[in-house]
Amino acid sequence: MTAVVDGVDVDAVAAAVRRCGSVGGLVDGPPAMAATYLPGRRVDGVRVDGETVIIQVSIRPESTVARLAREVGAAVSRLVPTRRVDIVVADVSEET
Amino acid sequence: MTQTVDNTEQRDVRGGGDGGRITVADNVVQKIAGMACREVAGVYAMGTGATRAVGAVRERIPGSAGPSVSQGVGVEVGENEAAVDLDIVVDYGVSANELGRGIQRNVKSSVERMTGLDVVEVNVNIDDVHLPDDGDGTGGGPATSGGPGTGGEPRVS
Repeated sequence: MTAVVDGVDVDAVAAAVRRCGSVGGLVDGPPAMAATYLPGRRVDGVRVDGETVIIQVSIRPESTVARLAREVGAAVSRLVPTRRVDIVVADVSEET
Repeated sequence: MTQTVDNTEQRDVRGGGDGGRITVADNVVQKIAGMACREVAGVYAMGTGATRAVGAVRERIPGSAGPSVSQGVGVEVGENEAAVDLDIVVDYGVSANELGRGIQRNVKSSVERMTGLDVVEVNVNIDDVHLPDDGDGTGGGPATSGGPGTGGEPRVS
């Protein structure tokens, strides 16, 4: 089941972001309060706000913000070709 | 609360539309600085007396993660710059001056490498000295007390 919000498949975006090597995970809550509320469930860390897609993630401790931004930008560009993508690094993930 | 990183290397994030913004939360800078500071040999614990006491209590609560990495770390983040304040407890016998320099170096390079922010100052505040037979220290550092010569002293290095 896919959820399309304003023409953006938020599940596909979330999955693409999760596959990025620098991303520890998608997070909701402050500072961006990025989450998409759907019937019966919630997609954390992705919010479609008009022409902007806000993606809130935690970063892996060995990576850098610049690398994360490149990876996420590349991962979602195919899915949201016409929108601006804002990335919020909210936390550092625990080493696993 | 948050600040925006807007240097040229990072500006080319785009999903095909306009370049987006990249925001780094204070929390992130705090954790990186905390980890980088604890890494340096000679740092026994972090935090002022009061925050260490709170951390020691948290540590005893089942299921709690214990003192957080950002304990003893204050940050101020601006547009493209960050300043870091650190409260630390040092091991007995270290050169405070040299240790301070080492911490400043490691924290500055770690935060700059990971976030791309320019770290303009790192203030190191030495709050206490941990004596070898001190066990718990005065303000409740790491709680396990190794007897003399047991080698059980918790230390971050």
